Amino acid sequence: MNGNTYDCIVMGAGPAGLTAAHVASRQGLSVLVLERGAAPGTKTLGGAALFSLPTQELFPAFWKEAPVERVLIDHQFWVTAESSAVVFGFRNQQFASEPYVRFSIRRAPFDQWLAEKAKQSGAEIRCSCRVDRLLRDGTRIVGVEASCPGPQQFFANCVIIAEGATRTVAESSGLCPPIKAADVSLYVKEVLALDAPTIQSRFNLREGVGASIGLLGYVTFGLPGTASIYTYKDSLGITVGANLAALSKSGITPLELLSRFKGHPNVKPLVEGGQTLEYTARLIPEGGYNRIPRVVFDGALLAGDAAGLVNGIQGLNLAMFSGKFAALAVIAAKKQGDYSAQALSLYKRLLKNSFVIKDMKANRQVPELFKRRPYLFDLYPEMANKLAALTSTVYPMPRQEKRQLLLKTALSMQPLPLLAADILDATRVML
Amino acid sequence: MNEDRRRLTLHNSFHHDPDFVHVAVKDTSVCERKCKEHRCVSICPSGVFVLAGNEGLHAEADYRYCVECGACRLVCPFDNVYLVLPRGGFGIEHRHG
Repeated sequence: MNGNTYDCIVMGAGPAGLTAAHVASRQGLSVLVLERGAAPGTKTLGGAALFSLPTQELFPAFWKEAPVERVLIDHQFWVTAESSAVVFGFRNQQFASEPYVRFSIRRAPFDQWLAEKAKQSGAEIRCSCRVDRLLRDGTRIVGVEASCPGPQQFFANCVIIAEGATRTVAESSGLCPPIKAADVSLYVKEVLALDAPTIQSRFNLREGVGASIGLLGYVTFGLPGTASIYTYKDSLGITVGANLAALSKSGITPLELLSRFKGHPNVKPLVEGGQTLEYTARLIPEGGYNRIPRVVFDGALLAGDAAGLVNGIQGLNLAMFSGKFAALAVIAAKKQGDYSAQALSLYKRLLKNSFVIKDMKANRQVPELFKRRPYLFDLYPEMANKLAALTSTVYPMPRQEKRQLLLKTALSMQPLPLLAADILDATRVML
Repeated sequence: MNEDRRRLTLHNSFHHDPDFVHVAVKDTSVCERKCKEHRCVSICPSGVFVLAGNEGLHAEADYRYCVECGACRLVCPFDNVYLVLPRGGFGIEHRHG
Protein backbone atom coordinates (compact mmCIF):
# COMPACT_ATOMS: atom_id res chain seq x y z
CA MET A 1 0.00 0.00 0.00
CA ASN A 2 1.09 3.56 -0.55
CA GLY A 3 2.07 5.20 2.70
CA ASN A 4 -1.03 5.14 4.87
CA THR A 5 -3.62 4.26 2.22
CA TYR A 6 -5.55 1.02 2.54
CA ASP A 7 -8.38 -0.64 0.65
CA CYS A 8 -10.29 -0.75 3.89
CA ILE A 9 -9.97 0.58 7.42
CA VAL A 10 -11.92 -1.21 10.14
CA MET A 11 -12.77 0.70 13.30
CA GLY A 12 -12.88 -1.67 16.24
CA ALA A 13 -11.41 -5.15 16.79
CA GLY A 14 -14.66 -6.78 17.87
CA PRO A 15 -16.58 -9.61 16.20
CA ALA A 16 -17.99 -7.44 13.39
CA GLY A 17 -14.73 -5.66 12.60
CA LEU A 18 -12.50 -8.70 12.84
CA THR A 19 -14.77 -10.88 10.71
CA ALA A 20 -14.83 -8.10 8.11
CA ALA A 21 -11.03 -7.83 8.27
CA HIS A 22 -10.63 -11.60 7.97
CA VAL A 23 -12.95 -11.92 4.96
CA ALA A 24 -11.61 -8.85 3.12
CA SER A 25 -7.92 -9.54 3.63
CA ARG A 26 -8.36 -13.18 2.60
CA GLN A 27 -9.47 -11.82 -0.78
CA GLY A 28 -6.25 -9.84 -1.04
CA LEU A 29 -7.51 -6.46 0.12
CA SER A 30 -5.20 -4.34 2.26
CA VAL A 31 -6.94 -3.95 5.60
CA LEU A 32 -6.05 -1.94 8.69
CA VAL A 33 -7.91 -2.59 11.94
CA LEU A 34 -7.73 0.18 14.53
CA GLU A 35 -8.52 -0.85 18.11
CA ARG A 36 -8.55 1.52 21.08
CA GLY A 37 -7.76 -1.21 23.61
CA ALA A 38 -4.20 -2.27 24.34
CA ALA A 39 -5.09 -5.65 22.78
CA PRO A 40 -8.14 -7.06 20.96
CA GLY A 41 -10.76 -8.22 23.45
CA THR A 42 -9.82 -5.84 26.27
CA LYS A 43 -12.91 -3.68 25.77
CA THR A 44 -15.45 -6.33 24.84
CA LEU A 45 -18.07 -7.95 27.02
CA GLY A 46 -20.70 -10.61 26.54
CA GLY A 47 -22.57 -13.52 28.22
CA ALA A 48 -21.66 -15.25 26.10
CA ALA A 49 -22.94 -18.06 23.90
CA LEU A 50 -21.43 -18.76 20.52
CA PHE A 51 -23.83 -20.50 18.15
CA SER A 52 -22.18 -23.34 16.33
CA LEU A 53 -23.96 -23.56 12.96
CA PRO A 54 -23.82 -19.86 12.02
CA THR A 55 -20.21 -19.57 13.22
CA GLN A 56 -19.17 -22.62 11.19
CA GLU A 57 -20.27 -20.86 8.03
CA LEU A 58 -17.71 -18.19 8.77
CA PHE A 59 -15.03 -20.32 10.44
CA PRO A 60 -15.34 -24.04 9.57
CA ALA A 61 -14.59 -26.39 12.49
CA PHE A 62 -13.76 -23.34 14.63
CA TRP A 63 -14.11 -25.35 17.86
CA LYS A 64 -10.88 -27.17 17.15
CA GLU A 65 -8.90 -23.97 17.55
CA ALA A 66 -11.08 -21.26 19.08
CA PRO A 67 -10.93 -20.77 22.87
CA VAL A 68 -14.36 -22.17 23.70
CA GLU A 69 -15.10 -22.82 27.37
CA ARG A 70 -17.75 -25.55 27.48
CA VAL A 71 -20.02 -27.27 24.97
CA LEU A 72 -23.48 -26.23 26.10
CA ILE A 73 -25.90 -29.15 26.25
CA ASP A 74 -28.41 -27.64 28.62
CA HIS A 75 -30.31 -24.42 28.23
CA GLN A 76 -32.80 -23.34 30.86
CA PHE A 77 -35.15 -20.45 31.20
CA TRP A 78 -36.26 -19.40 34.67
CA VAL A 79 -39.28 -17.19 35.33
CA THR A 80 -38.58 -16.01 38.84
CA ALA A 81 -40.52 -14.81 41.85
CA GLU A 82 -39.10 -14.06 45.30
CA SER A 83 -38.53 -17.63 46.46
CA SER A 84 -39.36 -19.72 43.40
CA ALA A 85 -38.91 -20.11 39.67
CA VAL A 86 -40.98 -21.69 36.93
CA VAL A 87 -38.37 -23.52 34.88
CA PHE A 88 -38.36 -24.41 31.20
CA GLY A 89 -35.38 -26.28 29.87
CA PHE A 90 -33.89 -28.67 27.42
CA ARG A 91 -30.90 -30.95 27.93
CA ASN A 92 -29.69 -32.99 25.00
CA GLN A 93 -26.61 -35.19 25.27
CA GLN A 94 -26.35 -35.22 21.48
CA PHE A 95 -25.52 -31.51 21.63
CA ALA A 96 -22.19 -32.64 23.09
CA SER A 97 -21.06 -34.04 19.72
CA GLU A 98 -20.24 -32.42 16.38
CA PRO A 99 -21.47 -30.18 14.89
CA TYR A 100 -22.63 -28.95 18.32
CA VAL A 101 -25.23 -26.23 18.97
CA ARG A 102 -23.74 -23.66 21.28
CA PHE A 103 -20.60 -23.05 23.26
CA SER A 104 -19.91 -20.81 26.21
CA ILE A 105 -17.10 -18.38 25.55
CA ARG A 106 -15.36 -15.57 27.36
CA ARG A 107 -15.23 -12.67 24.98
CA ALA A 108 -11.72 -11.42 25.78
CA PRO A 109 -9.91 -14.61 24.68
CA PHE A 110 -12.42 -15.24 21.90
CA ASP A 111 -11.92 -11.81 20.32
CA GLN A 112 -8.16 -12.31 20.58
CA TRP A 113 -8.54 -15.51 18.60
CA LEU A 114 -10.64 -13.72 15.97
CA ALA A 115 -7.85 -11.12 15.74
CA GLU A 116 -5.34 -13.91 15.12
CA LYS A 117 -7.52 -15.24 12.29
CA ALA A 118 -7.68 -11.78 10.72
CA LYS A 119 -3.92 -11.37 11.08
CA GLN A 120 -3.26 -14.76 9.47
CA SER A 121 -5.37 -13.65 6.51
CA GLY A 122 -3.15 -10.61 6.13
CA ALA A 123 -4.92 -7.84 8.04
CA GLU A 124 -2.84 -5.33 9.94
CA ILE A 125 -4.09 -4.69 13.48
CA ARG A 126 -3.00 -1.61 15.39
CA CYS A 127 -4.01 -1.48 19.02
CA SER A 128 -3.98 1.45 21.46
CA CYS A 129 -5.37 3.58 18.59
CA ARG A 130 -8.56 5.44 19.36
CA VAL A 131 -10.31 6.76 16.26
CA ASP A 132 -11.36 10.35 16.98
CA ARG A 133 -13.03 11.41 13.77
CA LEU A 134 -13.73 10.53 10.18
CA LEU A 135 -11.88 12.31 7.39
CA ARG A 136 -13.96 13.53 4.48
CA ASP A 137 -13.47 14.72 0.96
CA GLY A 138 -16.76 16.43 0.23
CA THR A 139 -19.41 13.92 1.24
CA ARG A 140 -17.10 10.97 0.81
CA ILE A 141 -15.44 9.41 3.85
CA VAL A 142 -11.79 8.90 2.95
CA GLY A 143 -10.14 7.91 6.20
CA VAL A 144 -9.86 8.46 9.93
CA GLU A 145 -7.88 10.47 12.41
CA ALA A 146 -6.77 8.51 15.44
CA SER A 147 -4.81 9.03 18.65
CA CYS A 148 -2.08 6.40 18.71
CA PRO A 149 -1.49 8.15 21.17
CA GLY A 150 -0.28 11.08 19.04
CA PRO A 151 -2.68 12.17 16.28
CA GLN A 152 -2.28 10.17 13.10
CA GLN A 153 -4.25 10.03 9.88
CA PHE A 154 -5.03 6.89 7.92
CA PHE A 155 -6.65 6.82 4.49
CA ALA A 156 -8.73 4.14 2.82
CA ASN A 157 -11.22 3.59 0.03
CA CYS A 158 -13.75 2.42 2.57
CA VAL A 159 -14.12 2.63 6.36
CA ILE A 160 -16.06 -0.10 8.15
CA ILE A 161 -17.35 1.46 11.36
CA ALA A 162 -17.65 -1.33 13.92
CA GLU A 163 -17.03 0.71 17.06
CA GLY A 164 -19.65 -0.94 19.25
CA ALA A 165 -22.88 0.10 20.92
CA THR A 166 -21.73 3.52 22.15
CA ARG A 167 -20.81 4.48 18.55
CA THR A 168 -19.33 7.82 19.56
CA VAL A 169 -17.56 8.49 16.25
CA ALA A 170 -20.53 7.63 14.03
CA GLU A 171 -22.71 9.81 16.23
CA SER A 172 -20.37 12.81 16.44
CA SER A 173 -19.86 12.61 12.67
CA GLY A 174 -23.60 12.90 12.16
CA LEU A 175 -23.91 9.47 10.51
CA CYS A 176 -26.52 8.30 12.98
CA PRO A 177 -28.83 9.89 15.53
CA PRO A 178 -27.89 10.02 19.23
CA ILE A 179 -28.74 6.86 21.15
CA LYS A 180 -31.56 7.22 23.67
CA ALA A 181 -31.64 5.59 27.09
CA ALA A 182 -34.98 3.98 26.20
CA ASP A 183 -33.36 2.13 23.27
CA VAL A 184 -30.51 0.47 25.16
CA SER A 185 -30.09 -1.83 28.12
CA LEU A 186 -27.36 -1.63 30.72
CA TYR A 187 -25.88 -4.99 31.62
CA VAL A 188 -23.41 -5.68 34.40
CA LYS A 189 -21.36 -8.83 34.50
CA GLU A 190 -19.38 -10.56 37.18
CA VAL A 191 -17.03 -13.44 36.48
CA LEU A 192 -16.73 -15.78 39.45
CA ALA A 193 -13.90 -18.26 39.88
CA LEU A 194 -15.19 -21.71 40.76
CA ASP A 195 -13.28 -24.94 40.23
CA ALA A 196 -14.44 -27.27 37.45
CA PRO A 197 -15.55 -30.20 39.67
CA THR A 198 -17.72 -27.83 41.74
CA ILE A 199 -19.32 -26.38 38.60
CA GLN A 200 -19.95 -29.87 37.27
CA SER A 201 -21.57 -31.10 40.45
CA ARG A 202 -23.70 -27.96 40.92
CA PHE A 203 -25.00 -28.03 37.37
CA ASN A 204 -25.02 -31.83 37.03
CA LEU A 205 -22.53 -31.91 34.16
CA ARG A 206 -19.75 -34.08 32.84
CA GLU A 207 -16.32 -32.60 32.18
CA GLY A 208 -16.24 -30.28 29.18
CA VAL A 209 -19.98 -29.79 28.82
CA GLY A 210 -21.90 -26.89 30.21
CA ALA A 211 -25.23 -25.29 30.95
CA SER A 212 -26.68 -21.84 30.62
CA ILE A 213 -29.65 -20.26 32.34
CA GLY A 214 -31.62 -17.20 31.27
CA LEU A 215 -33.80 -15.57 33.91
CA LEU A 216 -36.36 -12.82 34.22
CA GLY A 217 -38.87 -11.47 36.73
CA TYR A 218 -37.96 -10.98 40.37
CA VAL A 219 -34.21 -11.09 39.65
CA THR A 220 -34.46 -7.82 37.70
CA PHE A 221 -36.91 -6.23 40.17
CA GLY A 222 -39.55 -6.88 37.51
CA LEU A 223 -37.89 -4.33 35.23
CA PRO A 224 -37.77 -5.03 31.48
CA GLY A 225 -34.53 -6.96 31.45
CA THR A 226 -32.92 -10.36 31.90
CA ALA A 227 -30.24 -12.17 33.82
CA SER A 228 -28.08 -15.11 32.83
CA ILE A 229 -25.63 -17.66 34.14
CA TYR A 230 -23.03 -19.24 31.87
CA THR A 231 -20.76 -22.07 32.91
CA TYR A 232 -17.16 -21.69 31.80
CA LYS A 233 -14.30 -24.16 32.38
CA ASP A 234 -13.44 -22.99 35.86
CA SER A 235 -15.58 -19.91 36.33
CA LEU A 236 -19.13 -18.67 35.97
CA GLY A 237 -20.36 -15.66 34.03
CA ILE A 238 -23.16 -13.87 35.88
CA THR A 239 -24.93 -11.18 33.89
CA VAL A 240 -27.92 -9.00 34.70
CA GLY A 241 -29.35 -5.90 33.11
CA ALA A 242 -32.40 -3.88 32.26
CA ASN A 243 -33.60 -1.15 29.99
CA LEU A 244 -31.47 1.88 30.80
CA ALA A 245 -34.33 4.39 30.98
CA ALA A 246 -36.38 2.12 33.25
CA LEU A 247 -33.40 1.27 35.45
CA SER A 248 -32.26 4.85 35.94
CA LYS A 249 -35.82 5.98 36.63
CA SER A 250 -36.15 3.30 39.31
CA GLY A 251 -33.04 4.54 41.12
CA ILE A 252 -31.91 0.92 41.51
CA THR A 253 -28.16 0.63 41.12
CA PRO A 254 -26.52 -2.00 38.89
CA LEU A 255 -24.98 -3.54 41.99
CA GLU A 256 -28.39 -3.85 43.64
CA LEU A 257 -29.53 -5.71 40.51
CA LEU A 258 -26.57 -8.03 40.75
CA SER A 259 -27.07 -8.63 44.48
CA ARG A 260 -30.78 -9.36 44.01
CA PHE A 261 -29.94 -11.86 41.27
CA LYS A 262 -27.12 -13.62 43.11
CA GLY A 263 -29.13 -13.66 46.32
CA HIS A 264 -32.18 -15.39 44.82
CA PRO A 265 -32.60 -18.62 46.80
CA ASN A 266 -32.52 -20.74 43.62
CA VAL A 267 -29.46 -18.94 42.25
CA LYS A 268 -27.40 -18.62 45.42
CA PRO A 269 -26.48 -22.32 45.74
CA LEU A 270 -25.13 -22.24 42.18
CA VAL A 271 -22.90 -19.21 42.57
CA GLU A 272 -21.93 -19.02 46.24
CA GLY A 273 -18.28 -19.18 47.15
CA GLY A 274 -17.24 -17.96 43.71
CA GLN A 275 -14.44 -15.42 43.92
CA THR A 276 -14.84 -12.27 41.84
CA LEU A 277 -12.41 -12.16 38.93
CA GLU A 278 -13.96 -9.26 37.04
CA TYR A 279 -16.89 -6.87 37.39
CA THR A 280 -17.80 -4.69 34.47
CA ALA A 281 -20.63 -3.38 32.33
CA ARG A 282 -21.79 -2.45 28.86
CA LEU A 283 -24.75 -1.15 26.91
CA ILE A 284 -26.71 -3.36 24.53
CA PRO A 285 -28.70 -1.73 21.71
CA GLU A 286 -32.29 -2.93 22.05
CA GLY A 287 -34.19 -0.59 19.81
CA GLY A 288 -34.58 -3.42 17.31
CA TYR A 289 -35.35 -3.12 13.60
CA ASN A 290 -37.00 0.29 13.86
CA ARG A 291 -33.83 1.82 15.32
CA ILE A 292 -31.35 0.47 12.80
CA PRO A 293 -29.74 3.62 11.42
CA ARG A 294 -28.60 4.17 7.85
CA VAL A 295 -25.72 1.72 7.34
CA VAL A 296 -24.27 2.66 3.93
CA PHE A 297 -22.47 5.91 3.13
CA ASP A 298 -20.08 7.16 0.47
CA GLY A 299 -16.92 5.37 1.55
CA ALA A 300 -18.24 3.90 4.79
CA LEU A 301 -20.35 1.10 6.25
CA LEU A 302 -21.79 0.67 9.73
CA ALA A 303 -21.66 -2.86 11.23
CA GLY A 304 -22.34 -4.84 14.40
CA ASP A 305 -23.62 -3.16 17.57
CA ALA A 306 -22.85 0.27 16.10
CA ALA A 307 -25.61 -0.48 13.59
CA GLY A 308 -27.91 -1.69 16.39
CA LEU A 309 -27.84 -5.26 15.09
CA VAL A 310 -29.01 -7.06 18.20
CA ASN A 311 -32.05 -9.33 18.23
CA GLY A 312 -33.15 -10.61 21.62
CA ILE A 313 -30.30 -12.78 22.84
CA GLN A 314 -28.46 -12.67 19.53
CA GLY A 315 -25.80 -10.06 18.96
CA LEU A 316 -22.47 -11.80 18.52
CA ASN A 317 -23.38 -13.81 15.43
CA LEU A 318 -25.30 -10.91 13.92
CA ALA A 319 -22.17 -8.81 14.36
CA MET A 320 -20.00 -11.45 12.68
CA PHE A 321 -22.38 -11.84 9.74
CA SER A 322 -22.71 -8.09 9.29
CA GLY A 323 -18.91 -7.91 9.24
CA LYS A 324 -18.80 -10.58 6.56
CA PHE A 325 -21.42 -8.81 4.44
CA ALA A 326 -19.61 -5.48 4.83
CA ALA A 327 -16.41 -7.13 3.63
CA LEU A 328 -18.17 -8.71 0.62
CA ALA A 329 -19.52 -5.28 -0.35
CA VAL A 330 -16.04 -3.73 -0.09
CA ILE A 331 -14.56 -6.57 -2.16
CA ALA A 332 -17.18 -6.01 -4.88
CA ALA A 333 -16.62 -2.24 -4.71
CA LYS A 334 -12.93 -2.74 -5.26
CA LYS A 335 -13.60 -4.84 -8.37
CA GLN A 336 -15.74 -2.03 -9.78
CA GLY A 337 -13.40 0.68 -8.53
CA ASP A 338 -16.43 2.42 -7.06
CA TYR A 339 -16.89 2.97 -3.33
CA SER A 340 -19.93 5.22 -3.50
CA ALA A 341 -22.94 4.53 -1.29
CA GLN A 342 -24.69 3.12 -4.33
CA ALA A 343 -21.89 0.66 -5.08
CA LEU A 344 -21.62 -0.31 -1.40
CA SER A 345 -25.37 -0.85 -1.09
CA LEU A 346 -24.70 -4.53 -1.77
CA TYR A 347 -24.06 -4.60 2.00
CA LYS A 348 -27.63 -3.54 2.69
CA ARG A 349 -29.02 -6.12 0.26
CA LEU A 350 -26.96 -8.93 1.80
CA LEU A 351 -28.15 -7.93 5.27
CA LYS A 352 -31.76 -7.72 4.14
CA ASN A 353 -31.73 -11.16 2.53
CA SER A 354 -30.17 -12.83 5.57
CA PHE A 355 -31.52 -13.99 8.92
CA VAL A 356 -29.92 -10.90 10.45
CA ILE A 357 -32.51 -8.45 9.15
CA LYS A 358 -35.34 -10.90 8.45
CA ASP A 359 -35.51 -11.92 12.11
CA MET A 360 -35.10 -8.37 13.37
CA LYS A 361 -37.86 -7.25 11.07
CA ALA A 362 -40.14 -10.03 12.29
CA ASN A 363 -39.51 -8.90 15.88
CA ARG A 364 -39.73 -5.21 15.10
CA GLN A 365 -42.69 -4.53 17.36
CA VAL A 366 -41.25 -6.26 20.41
CA PRO A 367 -39.34 -3.23 21.81
CA GLU A 368 -42.51 -1.13 21.61
CA LEU A 369 -44.54 -3.87 23.29
CA PHE A 370 -42.15 -3.81 26.25
CA LYS A 371 -42.33 -0.01 26.41
CA ARG A 372 -46.12 -0.10 26.17
CA ARG A 373 -46.52 -2.83 28.77
CA PRO A 374 -43.43 -2.71 31.01
CA TYR A 375 -45.33 -4.56 33.75
CA LEU A 376 -45.18 -7.76 31.65
CA PHE A 377 -41.81 -8.46 33.30
CA ASP A 378 -43.27 -8.02 36.75
CA LEU A 379 -46.87 -9.18 36.74
CA TYR A 380 -46.63 -12.37 34.68
CA PRO A 381 -43.58 -13.95 36.35
CA GLU A 382 -45.40 -13.30 39.62
CA MET A 383 -48.60 -14.84 38.28
CA ALA A 384 -46.83 -17.84 36.76
CA ASN A 385 -45.15 -18.61 40.06
CA LYS A 386 -48.35 -18.23 42.07
CA LEU A 387 -50.24 -20.53 39.74
CA ALA A 388 -47.38 -23.03 39.73
CA ALA A 389 -47.34 -23.05 43.54
CA LEU A 390 -51.08 -23.70 43.62
CA THR A 391 -50.80 -26.41 40.98
CA SER A 392 -47.92 -28.11 42.77
CA THR A 393 -49.66 -28.09 46.11
CA VAL A 394 -52.06 -30.98 46.65
CA TYR A 395 -55.14 -29.78 48.51
CA PRO A 396 -57.92 -31.96 49.89
CA MET A 397 -60.15 -30.45 47.23
CA PRO A 398 -61.78 -31.76 44.05
CA ARG A 399 -59.98 -30.89 40.80
CA GLN A 400 -62.90 -28.90 39.50
CA GLU A 401 -62.68 -26.63 42.51
CA LYS A 402 -58.91 -26.28 42.16
CA ARG A 403 -59.25 -25.23 38.53
CA GLN A 404 -61.63 -22.51 39.66
CA LEU A 405 -59.16 -21.46 42.34
CA LEU A 406 -56.42 -21.15 39.71
CA LEU A 407 -58.62 -19.06 37.47
CA LYS A 408 -59.75 -16.86 40.35
CA THR A 409 -56.15 -16.30 41.43
CA ALA A 410 -55.07 -15.29 37.92
CA LEU A 411 -57.98 -12.89 37.52
CA SER A 412 -57.35 -11.35 40.93
CA MET A 413 -53.92 -10.35 39.64
CA GLN A 414 -55.06 -9.05 36.27
CA PRO A 415 -58.79 -8.62 35.47
CA LEU A 416 -60.03 -10.52 32.43
CA PRO A 417 -60.29 -7.58 29.98
CA LEU A 418 -56.72 -6.50 30.73
CA LEU A 419 -55.44 -10.07 30.69
CA ALA A 420 -57.07 -10.62 27.31
CA ALA A 421 -55.63 -7.33 26.01
CA ASP A 422 -52.12 -8.36 27.12
CA ILE A 423 -52.41 -11.77 25.48
CA LEU A 424 -53.82 -10.30 22.28
CA ASP A 425 -51.13 -7.63 22.08
CA ALA A 426 -48.31 -10.06 22.79
CA THR A 427 -49.65 -12.61 20.31
CA ARG A 428 -50.08 -9.98 17.60
CA VAL A 429 -46.50 -8.77 18.11
CA MET A 430 -44.85 -12.17 18.31
CA LEU A 431 -46.59 -13.84 15.37
CA MET B 1 -23.23 2.12 48.20
CA ASN B 2 -20.52 3.70 46.10
CA GLU B 3 -17.92 1.93 48.23
CA ASP B 4 -19.39 -1.50 47.43
CA ARG B 5 -19.32 -0.78 43.73
CA ARG B 6 -15.77 0.46 43.97
CA ARG B 7 -14.66 -2.61 45.88
CA LEU B 8 -15.96 -4.85 43.10
CA THR B 9 -14.46 -2.65 40.41
CA LEU B 10 -11.03 -3.04 42.00
CA HIS B 11 -11.01 -6.69 40.83
CA ASN B 12 -10.59 -5.36 37.30
CA SER B 13 -7.41 -4.56 35.50
CA PHE B 14 -7.02 -0.86 34.63
CA HIS B 15 -4.37 1.07 32.81
CA HIS B 16 -4.83 4.50 34.36
CA ASP B 17 -4.23 7.59 32.28
CA PRO B 18 -2.88 10.31 34.59
CA ASP B 19 -3.03 12.97 31.89
CA PHE B 20 -6.52 12.75 30.47
CA VAL B 21 -9.82 12.89 32.35
CA HIS B 22 -12.36 11.24 30.07
CA VAL B 23 -15.47 11.53 32.25
CA ALA B 24 -16.55 14.59 34.20
CA VAL B 25 -19.50 16.67 35.28
CA LYS B 26 -19.67 19.60 32.88
CA ASP B 27 -21.09 22.19 35.27
CA THR B 28 -21.59 21.28 38.93
CA SER B 29 -23.92 24.22 39.49
CA VAL B 30 -26.41 22.68 37.04
CA CYS B 31 -26.60 19.59 39.28
CA GLU B 32 -27.16 21.76 42.32
CA ARG B 33 -29.74 24.03 40.77
CA LYS B 34 -31.74 21.68 38.60
CA CYS B 35 -31.13 18.04 39.43
CA LYS B 36 -32.94 16.19 42.18
CA GLU B 37 -32.45 12.56 41.19
CA HIS B 38 -28.75 12.39 40.32
CA ARG B 39 -29.31 9.45 38.01
CA CYS B 40 -25.63 9.39 37.11
CA VAL B 41 -24.82 8.49 40.73
CA SER B 42 -27.24 5.57 40.90
CA ILE B 43 -26.66 4.21 37.38
CA CYS B 44 -22.85 4.13 37.34
CA PRO B 45 -21.77 0.47 37.78
CA SER B 46 -18.43 1.46 39.28
CA GLY B 47 -19.48 4.40 41.45
CA VAL B 48 -17.52 7.03 39.55
CA PHE B 49 -19.95 9.84 40.34
CA VAL B 50 -19.68 11.15 43.87
CA LEU B 51 -21.96 13.58 45.63
CA ALA B 52 -19.74 15.15 48.24
CA GLY B 53 -20.74 18.10 50.45
CA ASN B 54 -18.71 21.15 49.56
CA GLU B 55 -17.38 19.69 46.31
CA GLY B 56 -20.84 19.08 44.86
CA LEU B 57 -21.34 16.32 42.32
CA HIS B 58 -18.14 15.26 40.63
CA ALA B 59 -16.51 12.41 38.77
CA GLU B 60 -13.08 13.80 38.09
CA ALA B 61 -11.39 12.13 41.03
CA ASP B 62 -12.67 8.68 40.17
CA TYR B 63 -12.66 8.62 36.38
CA ARG B 64 -9.90 6.02 36.59
CA TYR B 65 -12.39 3.35 37.67
CA CYS B 66 -14.81 3.98 34.83
CA VAL B 67 -15.75 0.69 33.10
CA GLU B 68 -16.65 2.60 29.90
CA CYS B 69 -20.27 1.49 29.60
CA GLY B 70 -21.51 4.94 28.57
CA ALA B 71 -24.72 4.89 30.65
CA CYS B 72 -24.10 8.17 32.55
CA ARG B 73 -24.18 10.34 29.44
CA LEU B 74 -27.50 8.87 28.35
CA VAL B 75 -29.33 9.17 31.68
CA CYS B 76 -28.44 12.77 32.52
CA PRO B 77 -31.58 14.82 31.76
CA PHE B 78 -29.48 18.01 31.50
CA ASP B 79 -26.82 16.73 29.11
CA ASN B 80 -24.36 17.64 31.83
CA VAL B 81 -22.03 14.62 31.66
CA TYR B 82 -18.87 14.96 29.62
CA LEU B 83 -17.88 11.51 28.43
CA VAL B 84 -15.46 10.44 25.76
CA LEU B 85 -13.53 7.21 25.48
CA PRO B 86 -10.16 6.96 27.23
CA ARG B 87 -7.15 7.52 25.01
CA GLY B 88 -5.90 4.50 23.07
CA GLY B 89 -4.33 1.88 25.32
CA PHE B 90 -5.82 3.31 28.52
CA GLY B 91 -8.81 2.50 30.69
CA ILE B 92 -10.30 -0.84 31.64
CA GLU B 93 -8.65 -3.99 30.31
CA HIS B 94 -10.99 -6.97 30.33
CA ARG B 95 -9.23 -10.27 30.96
CA HIS B 96 -12.43 -12.31 30.72
CA GLY B 97 -14.98 -10.14 28.94
